[in-house]
Amino acid sequence: MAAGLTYEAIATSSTLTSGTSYTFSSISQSYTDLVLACSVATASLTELYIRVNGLSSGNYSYITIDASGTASHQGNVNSIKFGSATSSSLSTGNISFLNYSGTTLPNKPIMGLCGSSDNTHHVGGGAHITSAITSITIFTGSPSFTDATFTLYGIARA
Amino acid sequence: MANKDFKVKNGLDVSTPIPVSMGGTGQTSTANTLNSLLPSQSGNSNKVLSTDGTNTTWAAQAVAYQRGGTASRPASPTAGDLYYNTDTNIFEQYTSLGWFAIAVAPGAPTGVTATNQGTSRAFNNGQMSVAFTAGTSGGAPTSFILTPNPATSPTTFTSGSSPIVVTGLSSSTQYTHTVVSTSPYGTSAASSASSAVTATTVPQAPSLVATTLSETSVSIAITAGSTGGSAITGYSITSNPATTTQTTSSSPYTFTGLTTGTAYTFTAYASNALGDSATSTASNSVTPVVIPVGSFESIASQRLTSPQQSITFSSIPQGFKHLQVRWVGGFYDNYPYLTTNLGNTGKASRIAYYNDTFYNNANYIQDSTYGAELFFGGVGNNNPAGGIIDILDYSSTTKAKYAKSQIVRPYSGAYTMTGIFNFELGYATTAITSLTVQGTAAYPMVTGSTVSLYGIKGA
Repeated sequence: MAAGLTYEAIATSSTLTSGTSYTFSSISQSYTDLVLACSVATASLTELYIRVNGLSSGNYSYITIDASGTASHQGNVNSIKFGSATSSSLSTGNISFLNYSGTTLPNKPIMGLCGSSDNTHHVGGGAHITSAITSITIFTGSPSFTDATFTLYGIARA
Repeated sequence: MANKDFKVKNGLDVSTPIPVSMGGTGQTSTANTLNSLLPSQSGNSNKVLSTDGTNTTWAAQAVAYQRGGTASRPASPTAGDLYYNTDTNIFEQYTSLGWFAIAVAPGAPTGVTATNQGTSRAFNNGQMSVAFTAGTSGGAPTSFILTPNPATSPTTFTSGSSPIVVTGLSSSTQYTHTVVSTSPYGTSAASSASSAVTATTVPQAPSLVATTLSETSVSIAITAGSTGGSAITGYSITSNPATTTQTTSSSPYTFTGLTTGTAYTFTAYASNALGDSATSTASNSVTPVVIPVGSFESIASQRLTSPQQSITFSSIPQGFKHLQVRWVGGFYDNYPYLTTNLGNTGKASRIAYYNDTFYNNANYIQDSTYGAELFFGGVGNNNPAGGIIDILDYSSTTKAKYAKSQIVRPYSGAYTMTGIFNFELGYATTAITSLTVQGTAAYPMVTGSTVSLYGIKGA
């Protein structure tokens, strides 16, 4: 087995102090998986959502599990709710996009964890697309970002 | 007198040689006179003069021979002696191999016995010495033709005497041999086959995969070739650029004493009791580098281009602290599993949701046939799942091994699943050297399924 260095930073947003969404576009297809690292310390922001390739027509299904053990299943919805906090602002999280550059299997598994001071939120779901993911959009419910940074990493395979 | 040189007195008296031009012989003695008068003697030794009444030529002497029964053959014959055997009414001639009938095809050889000669013989070029005895019935053989079984290239070996050395034999293969005798008068029947003997040789060359292990060492995974029929006793590994030749009898091997920042390839040969194999092809090139703690490296990956039950990674490098497996795949309608060289036993727990139904299964026993269950419930061709598995301290020989997995199966509509699984893989004293992600025999992984193995460095 030949080992090689991988896990490379592809792109990083500037510190976002306004707006309600951020998009990584023209994502390199040189990797197998993506990892999106989020650092969000925006007052009163309690929810984060994700879409891929600009799709918003029932292309997603997911289950969220919060710290209380409460789960919520959503099928054929317009986005994946990645992060949630009950009252405080979100802090950090990461989410993996498995097989994002593959074009054979009929969905793209997406899962990760997001933590806040009053909740830990696990999400597992995916986008029901066969084509490769070329863009990722992170957006809020309503409040604008006031202090948010997103970094996208690529994980290559041997 | 016409010739004053001749004088006759009471008969012919020649005082000087009479030249041939004058009707004489030109000779002064009777012997020389005879030699000069005879036909050319060159090449006619032991022949006699013969005449047809007009011309005189050299002819072979009549051959003398004895006659009698087989038991009365001459006690001390020499090669070429003739004998008329009154038991068979056939002329026989003596050769270095014994008495043989003249002008008769030879008899079949007997007592064919093979002896393996494997020392220093190259892999798949074994050698045997095959001894036999010429048949005592029939005519004198002039050559012997040996045929190994199974067939070799060339298919036969020819010699004028025993033994015949046979080469080109496949290593670790049993051979028998038959021999026929030949002469200008025909070919004998084949001998009885020799007893089977296994051809042994030096081993087949190994193959190497090198992995950076530290600033001055690399881990070399050695895949043995065939033994050649004799157990491999060790490997000798050499670097390029040259450092030292290091030996080992196990894999993986840590090759030490390298220079940081220099690219190296490695070759090796295997040894057994019969000698050394050919040198392997060069390994991949690796460069010992300063490895930052926590670095994340891709070790290997496999993507299926056709349905297959499992994806296995073997000879996993032991130079990392932890492993991570990232997988996606459809498993038709059954569960995917993880198994390792530690076996399929152990316990597992999970926290998972299937739609809104919560599963908290502690200490449930994983599947004993296929290994640790990565998911529960059908996965399916059209709703493939994915997961990330961390295997902690996988190379430890003092700690129990655990795998922790996040998994998800998205599905359009109902049946989405997600959860966290924990597997106790067990066996504190054994490192994990291979792992497999698999479906079942009846429900293999679909085309496009991909499993990638990563190593995580640690202090």
